[in-house]
Amino acid sequence: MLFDLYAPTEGWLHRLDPRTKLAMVLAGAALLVAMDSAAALGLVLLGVHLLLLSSRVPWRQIAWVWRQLARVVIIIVAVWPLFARLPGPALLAVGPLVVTLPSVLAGVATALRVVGMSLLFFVILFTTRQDALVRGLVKLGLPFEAGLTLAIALRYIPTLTHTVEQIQEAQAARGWQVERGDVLGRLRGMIPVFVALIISVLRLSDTLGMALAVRGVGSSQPRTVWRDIRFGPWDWLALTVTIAGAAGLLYARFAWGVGAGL
Amino acid sequence: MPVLRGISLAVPPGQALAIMGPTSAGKTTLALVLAGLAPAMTGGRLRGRVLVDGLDAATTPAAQLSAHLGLVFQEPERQLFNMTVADEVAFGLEGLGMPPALIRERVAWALGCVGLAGLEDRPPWQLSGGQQKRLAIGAILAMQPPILVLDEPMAGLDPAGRREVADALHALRARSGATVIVFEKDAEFAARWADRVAVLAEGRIALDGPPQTVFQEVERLHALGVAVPQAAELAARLRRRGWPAAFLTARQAAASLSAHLPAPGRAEPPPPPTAREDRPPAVELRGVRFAYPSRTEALRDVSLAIPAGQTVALVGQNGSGKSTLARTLIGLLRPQAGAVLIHGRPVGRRSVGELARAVGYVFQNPDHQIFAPSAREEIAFGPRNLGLKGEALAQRVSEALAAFGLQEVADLPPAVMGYGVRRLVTLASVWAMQPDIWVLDEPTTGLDARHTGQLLAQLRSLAAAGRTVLFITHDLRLAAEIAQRVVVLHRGRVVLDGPPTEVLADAERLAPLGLRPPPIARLSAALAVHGFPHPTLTVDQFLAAWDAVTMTNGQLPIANCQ
Repeated sequence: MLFDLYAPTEGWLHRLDPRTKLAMVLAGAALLVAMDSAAALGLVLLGVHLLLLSSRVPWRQIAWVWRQLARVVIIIVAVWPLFARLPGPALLAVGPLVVTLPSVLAGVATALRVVGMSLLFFVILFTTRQDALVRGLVKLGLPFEAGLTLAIALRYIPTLTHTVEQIQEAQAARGWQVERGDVLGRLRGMIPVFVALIISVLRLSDTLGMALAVRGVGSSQPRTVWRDIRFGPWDWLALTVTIAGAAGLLYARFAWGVGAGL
Repeated sequence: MPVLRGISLAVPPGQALAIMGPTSAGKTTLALVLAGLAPAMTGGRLRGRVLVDGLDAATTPAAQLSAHLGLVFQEPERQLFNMTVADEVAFGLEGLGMPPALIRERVAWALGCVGLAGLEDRPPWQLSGGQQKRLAIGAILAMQPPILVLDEPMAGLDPAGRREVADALHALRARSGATVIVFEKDAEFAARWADRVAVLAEGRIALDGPPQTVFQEVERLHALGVAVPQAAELAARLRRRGWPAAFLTARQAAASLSAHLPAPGRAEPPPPPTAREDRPPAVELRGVRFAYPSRTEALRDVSLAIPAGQTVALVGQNGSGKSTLARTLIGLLRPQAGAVLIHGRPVGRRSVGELARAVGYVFQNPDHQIFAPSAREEIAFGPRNLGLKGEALAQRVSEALAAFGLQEVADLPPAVMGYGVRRLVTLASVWAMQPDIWVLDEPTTGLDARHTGQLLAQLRSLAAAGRTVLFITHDLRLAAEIAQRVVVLHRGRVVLDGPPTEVLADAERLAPLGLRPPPIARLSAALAVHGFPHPTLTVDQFLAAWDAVTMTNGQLPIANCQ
């Protein structure tokens, strides 16, 4: 199924300048890096969810991110404690393997951090239209061609996902199965899908390059922008609140140790 | 190898020119040359001169030429790269450096022209096929180039989509005064729309003139692999029998032929439909329901039994559930209720690979399966997966190559072959698995008349060999030619099911389903008031009926001359 990253719900985040949202994401990322305790990270993550929901991003889309990350989360939570080996009361001890409570908490914290970072990234993608995002990045100094390339890459993610599905169907209908067994064997089994995908992408990019040219990309004429982004009063407010909030929390973390322990 | 070999063509301003030709005739290359994209972006060498609106297309950068000549590509997917309909149209205008206020005006104007007003904020990929094509046209139209070039605007559309795009192109002709050049395989459209038709074959202009003249050359067009309007084909066959016939559409034909028939009022009842065979079904669906996540039901309680050896056409609008139904037959989709039986055995949880032994599935887009370095390897992939090895495998592959006339290209990489040949390779790759049941999803899309003919011959020989064939198509003329039975789906239900003469000639019942009988069926319906036996669907059927009627009435051609 084609999955559209942008959620056209026109919430308050949608109306902000992408540069403001970029600042919010950076602040959020700084908090995720600074905090160590699972509880504090959980609160930051909760904040990100509230942010998305208050801008009416549908649950379905948030759940999609969680589903994409589910495997990584499970692996981190399961494996991290085995290697973290933090001192503390043992929950489980089998031979040389000792799982302590602090190690488990550290695993949970790391998983929360990964999910938080991803969701922050999606705050921008879910609430910003492609052209606005590109405008924002171009206004921050990115060349137009680079911004356009990024925008197109994002635009075609769903298309390529769909293509992969169709290729898998087409090969399955000819009796193809990913061989079970070692990694090498499985990779070899994927060749019929990889090669067909590469050929499809080459065909796509060939035409796309020409389609851009006939719409005037590469002309010496300076471009205009018909729906420009504006940094308005709400942006100033959001930016101020973000900076003040993040600064306050970071101060609390480093001066008073809030959220430092596990 | 030269693609274009000495083309001289002058198109006066305001002309509506349709350029037709078989695949690999050089149509797309010519379009790219006109837009200044070839050889600049494709590589290759250009000799001769191409003047577009007074500018040399070879030396003017494509981006600059775009203000003079707009090119609409064939695949909407590859030219709609914005997130909303309005942005898509505005994109080119921003490139022209137009002030925002004027862009807003132009966006509204262009969307109005192609009938997409009100969809400004929709993402392009959520539009229907016809809407996407119209958006691609609108995005170029907005730049108001004096010349518009469209590469196969009808390709890949269902009947409703075709009608939408045709209406948009008719409106464009009538209102804008622009020069419009359309590269198109659809002869029915070209005959109605164009002032002038040029036929490109092997890189040369083979025929050039008004549609009435060009479409008289039926045998020449057949030899070149170019489709002919069905009515024009009938006219040619009647001329050969001595009747003075010259028409391009069913309406013209009806006006012209009714003069040779007795006065209205003697309508005969249509012949009774042929009785259906009663054999155990090769494919059976019992109360099948299927819904995609977050969407309405694609199949709502479909029951259908296809006896072994039957050739069935599955028709209906896009979104009516045709591909969904086909996918359940090989386990790519599992119905949420009901059962699918292959040779009387429920599909159940059997894997796609296992079902592939009995069911050969030909996908709509050949590029979704092609991966091997040679046609031989591509064709061997399926049977090898089924366990065929060594001499038996080699034997099977050579037979498949021979069946589709691919021996000469056996060791070339299919990815670089022309579209029609790639299609044949994918057919051969399924043929090599020797399935009992064939399921084909729009197999003729993108094929020219010659490759379509090859495909039809193969489908006929499969039927003759007792295989069961289910093919999805939008081409009712094709369905009339080879299907023994036509099943029409509409919103996930079977709404019509019967022999072609019963289903395809019934204009009144087809209309609400977005379908229209083929030209000959419309013609015989129009002549029915004169006692002409209706329905006839194909040129052959019509001629047989015509001979019978005109003979009994004593109106031999000679009588008309007196």
